[in-house]
Amino acid sequence: MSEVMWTEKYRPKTLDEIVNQEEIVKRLKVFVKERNVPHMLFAGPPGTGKTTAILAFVRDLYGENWRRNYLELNASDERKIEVIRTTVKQFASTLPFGDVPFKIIVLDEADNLTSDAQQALRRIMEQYADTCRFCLTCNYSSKIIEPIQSRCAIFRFAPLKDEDMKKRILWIAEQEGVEITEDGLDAIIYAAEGDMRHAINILQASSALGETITSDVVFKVVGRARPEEVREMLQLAFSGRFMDAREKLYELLIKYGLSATDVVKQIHREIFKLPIDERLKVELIDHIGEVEYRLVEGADSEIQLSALLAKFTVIGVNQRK
Amino acid sequence: MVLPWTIKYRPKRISEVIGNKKAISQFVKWLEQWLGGKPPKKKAIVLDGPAGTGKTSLVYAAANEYNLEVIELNVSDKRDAETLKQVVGSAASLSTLTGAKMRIILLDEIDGISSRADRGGLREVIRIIDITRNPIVMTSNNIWDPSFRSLREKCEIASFNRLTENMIVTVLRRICEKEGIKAEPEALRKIAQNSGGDLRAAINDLQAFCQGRKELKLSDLHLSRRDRELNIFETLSRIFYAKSAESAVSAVMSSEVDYELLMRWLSENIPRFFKTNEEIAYAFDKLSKASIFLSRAKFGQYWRLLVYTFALMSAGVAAARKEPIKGFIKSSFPTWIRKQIAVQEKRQKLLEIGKIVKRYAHLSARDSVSEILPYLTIVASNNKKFEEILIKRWDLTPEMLALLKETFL
Repeated sequence: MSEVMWTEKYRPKTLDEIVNQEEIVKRLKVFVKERNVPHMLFAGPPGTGKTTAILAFVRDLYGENWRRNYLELNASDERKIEVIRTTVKQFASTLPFGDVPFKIIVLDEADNLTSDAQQALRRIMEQYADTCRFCLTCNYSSKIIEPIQSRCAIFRFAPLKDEDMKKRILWIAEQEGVEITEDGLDAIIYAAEGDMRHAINILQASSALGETITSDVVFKVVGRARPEEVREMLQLAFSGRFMDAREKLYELLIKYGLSATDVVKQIHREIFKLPIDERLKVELIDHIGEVEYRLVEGADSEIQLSALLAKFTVIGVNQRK
Repeated sequence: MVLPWTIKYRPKRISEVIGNKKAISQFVKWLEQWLGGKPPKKKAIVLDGPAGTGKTSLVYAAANEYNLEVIELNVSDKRDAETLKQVVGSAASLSTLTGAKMRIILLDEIDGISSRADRGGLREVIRIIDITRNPIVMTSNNIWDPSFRSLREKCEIASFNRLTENMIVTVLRRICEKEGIKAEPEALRKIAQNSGGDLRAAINDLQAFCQGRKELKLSDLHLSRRDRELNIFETLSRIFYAKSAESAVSAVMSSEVDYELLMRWLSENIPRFFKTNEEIAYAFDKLSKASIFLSRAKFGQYWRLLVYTFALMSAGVAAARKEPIKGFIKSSFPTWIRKQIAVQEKRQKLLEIGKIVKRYAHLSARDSVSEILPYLTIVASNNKKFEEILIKRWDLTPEMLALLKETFL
């Protein structure tokens, strides 16, 4: 059976296959052996193996029938706690299949739930504790409320080491019969920023472009996924051309179907690469953060982004003086 | 500066809408069928009746009570077939972005669609009623005009009557109590009489007469036609050329344009009226703060905060001016209004694909769009076999693939 995406195809299937995060894997193996597990909280940056660990864990725990005892929900898709409650209720209403006396419910991106929703989630966790164990994943454990943290065993996933990522990428390339140069490999690791999923996606897309993966190919791929227009927009703003910068913004939003928050995030990412004074970068980030907060509060996105660009025109012109 | 009482005392719940009990319960029954997941046979409803009888207020009160989102097109928007198709068509066929709230599409004063200026508009409305997945509510002053026959067939019609003097007096009295104003009963009755059953007019008159007083006597009343309201161009030039903060604010207060739409016009035109980046940045800073106060007012239903919105968007923008504005400057229609629809449409389509990818990727639909789709597209466009697998096994349509290529290549 051939998986469409390499991220899935080469996702480790058992705990034994996971080469990183040794401490975590060791603890999970104990749970499998004892056929008991507490509620768990997996915290760490994207692409560090949180989902992989839980999937391998349930496979080891339940064997072939893992799918019948496993429910995966994503908090950023089911923002309504009611939906989560109903789904959990349905899933929990039937007995676990096989000899393990509980089922596993994974709630991804739990830090996207409001604290009210988390309070409700905590009650749900208690209500179904007899038959279900919860595994929550998040990027920042500090965004999970205290009462939930105290009910969970917390696992912290560290960013993958460059060496480990390189090994894995080379291994996948070998399996797929793809040639990759040394600078091509370095480029992938640089662009992936410690995110294994990102690295594999870049590898797969790069391999589609030609025989050998060089750094040129990698940068071409990465450039498409992270629109160049953001940088162009910023350059226009910094050179004082507000109207043109705003036109670019509209274009960007329409072409990529981005939300205002997406744009803010991309701007944030670009700031560090700008050839400007370090102190100024901090200033800019302060403004960007303020805008993102306002958007969350529900302020009008077109007006907020225009205001940000207008601010940049002034800062940019002062910078050149 | 004072918040218009018509806004301040706008009903928040259906039970607070006065009079017309029969029409209201007809509307609520119709809406509850939608909310229960079974759209009624007639997917649109017309609230028909004279001005100021609570038609639009009812829609917003219901939206507030049931936590619905209202997408409104009002008379100041252009309503030819093309605009309708863009605005209503996409809103009607899509569920909300968050998937959380149902949307009500409100076409205010539908009989303002004229056969000449809004060519094909009516036909488009009828077509949209046929395909909508969201409740469509229209208000009108006379739906019984022969030109609306084909529209009437598609709609339920709830008829609103003029409010009685007693009803209007009741509301006015309640407002006076809350404002701490001692009013002679005869004075309130006189205002009610003069309103001709139009509650909005009555409340506006009451506010005008009570300005700066704590007492209202019959002898104080000198009822006459109210001042003409400013159109959008007059409003904008009064703001941009304002000589004082106060006169800028009063331009907002006496504008016929709704303040949210006005903010959109300001955003479009700030860089046209101001020439230096400092002025533009200052004006946008204040406008962006006005928009924050608006969102806070809406979020907490704390409408008093609107006074700050009004002040910041007018006096704040006017204060940006450092040098006199030279010559005549023509204000432009906000391009963002049209573009916004295109953005939402695109985003919605990408999310649809994200929802498919999500099934295979252990990611949210949203993250699937940003993290998976760009790479998937590159592979698919360079590998025919891969593309076929996406179509056969993932059920991506050729249209979806075309959209991906257009977006990411």
